[in-house]
Amino acid sequence: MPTMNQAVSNPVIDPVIEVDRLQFSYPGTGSRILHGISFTIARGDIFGFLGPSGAGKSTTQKVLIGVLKGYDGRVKVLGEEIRDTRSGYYERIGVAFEFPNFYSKLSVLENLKLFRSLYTGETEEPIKLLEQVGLADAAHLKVSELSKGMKMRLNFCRALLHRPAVLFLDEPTSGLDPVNAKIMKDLILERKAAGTTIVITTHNMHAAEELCDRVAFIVDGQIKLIDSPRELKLRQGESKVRVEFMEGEIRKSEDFPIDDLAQNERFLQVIGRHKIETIHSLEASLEQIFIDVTGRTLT
Amino acid sequence: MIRYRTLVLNDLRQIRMDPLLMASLLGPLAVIAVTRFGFIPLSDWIERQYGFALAPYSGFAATFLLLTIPLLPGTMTGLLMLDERDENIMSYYSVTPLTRRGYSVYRLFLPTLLSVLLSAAFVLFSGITESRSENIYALTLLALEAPCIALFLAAFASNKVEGLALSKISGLLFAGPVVAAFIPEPWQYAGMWIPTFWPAKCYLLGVNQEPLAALGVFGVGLIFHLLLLTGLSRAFLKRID
Repeated sequence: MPTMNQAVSNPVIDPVIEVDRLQFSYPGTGSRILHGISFTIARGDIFGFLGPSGAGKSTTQKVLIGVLKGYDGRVKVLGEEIRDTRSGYYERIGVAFEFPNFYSKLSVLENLKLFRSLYTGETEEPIKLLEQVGLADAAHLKVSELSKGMKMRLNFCRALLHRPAVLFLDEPTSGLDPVNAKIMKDLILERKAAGTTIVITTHNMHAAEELCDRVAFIVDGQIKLIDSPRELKLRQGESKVRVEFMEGEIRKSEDFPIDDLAQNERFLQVIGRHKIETIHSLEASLEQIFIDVTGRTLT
Repeated sequence: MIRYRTLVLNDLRQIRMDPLLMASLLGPLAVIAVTRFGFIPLSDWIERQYGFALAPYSGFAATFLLLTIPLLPGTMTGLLMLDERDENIMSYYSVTPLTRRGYSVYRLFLPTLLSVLLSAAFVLFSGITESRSENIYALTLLALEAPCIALFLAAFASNKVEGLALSKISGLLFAGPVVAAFIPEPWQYAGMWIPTFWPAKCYLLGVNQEPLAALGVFGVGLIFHLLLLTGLSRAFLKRID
């Protein structure tokens, strides 16, 4: 297994986000949270920051969205150095925090209209966005009457009001049941298809695996690894397939190298003579790779 | 401007839905109306019944009632800010073109403006004040008290319930005019740490036709209020960071 102290991402064509040796300490604390991290994110990509609580992924996101400007290093989003950005920056990026924050006594539509009025550029019709996320019927409900899944969709909706070029999503599937999590993932993939660059912060490996073009593992303020989930899984996994089959009344399992599988006599014998229950390739799971590379779990 | 118009409309909607906030806004108008139509009849009645004349104390009564005016929009704003802090809406504003700074300016400007307009309405229409140029000193200091009260609640209360409890403490501000009106000099300057002492003193010096002294007290009071506003702003920002 690779043991990298500081991963360096491959050169990216048409980068939207460029971060070079980013360091950050919260004022007055003295302890450094980010230790010189570097990465780039390409236009139209979904990029995931993965790491346990306190690893520095939220701090990285706060720097990228311009909330923390007292950093060292270089951080450019859409060509602008973050420490020099002004209010116009927020016309170009959209943010959805982990916990949906709305005026709970106002209706869904009233909330969206209020936040829409803060933008000077072109904006979406709130009701159209609500239709896209399946909330049109809830438009006149008070936010306090919505379920967690509906609030998360509304949160996502709000971040899209001003057609941002870059979207920052913090734990977009957090606390959602499988049905709502699937809806949210589909919505994110729709935005990607529309050309939006998306940065996700999460500790949900499955969501990252399904959504992200590339992921970065952050631990102790350092990026330990950056690559596409598929590449990571193939590279770090075993090039084998595992077959589970019944031999009479006994369930058995055997592994075979993927190379020249069609010429593997034992494999052909097993699949030809026995009742097959499962066949799986043994690529590593993202979670296992994370544990192997960082020595940490995601809790 | 459109964004501020929507924010104002949103505030009005919130105020309409919350009787407490509604009372905070209508309260000053009620104070003006009650003073206008109630003070002189009440004063006459007390004089007839008990032989005690209120008229010589109308300066004190005016300052006492005047200071309720910034207290109410200030408290209302403080409670709105606590709601927005509780619901994490402040942090969302900081990632919109409004920005955190724009949000804070808007939030503090509105009660200041309300205080200016309503205090001026009190001076003009309550019927117990004299129209004097020194009144501008008192109105300026009172206008600065509204954002101070809002920031005090938003910085030191953990939630809206605590905010309501803390707003009761702001009742101590009524001590300002009492000290300025009834405690002899120089002892009354022991009460200079009470913010409302300064506008009350300015107003009373104006009534006593001491314009230079009123100007001096206004200068010191202005510095005191600006320092207070700065300190409370810092405490508030520290709280939301």
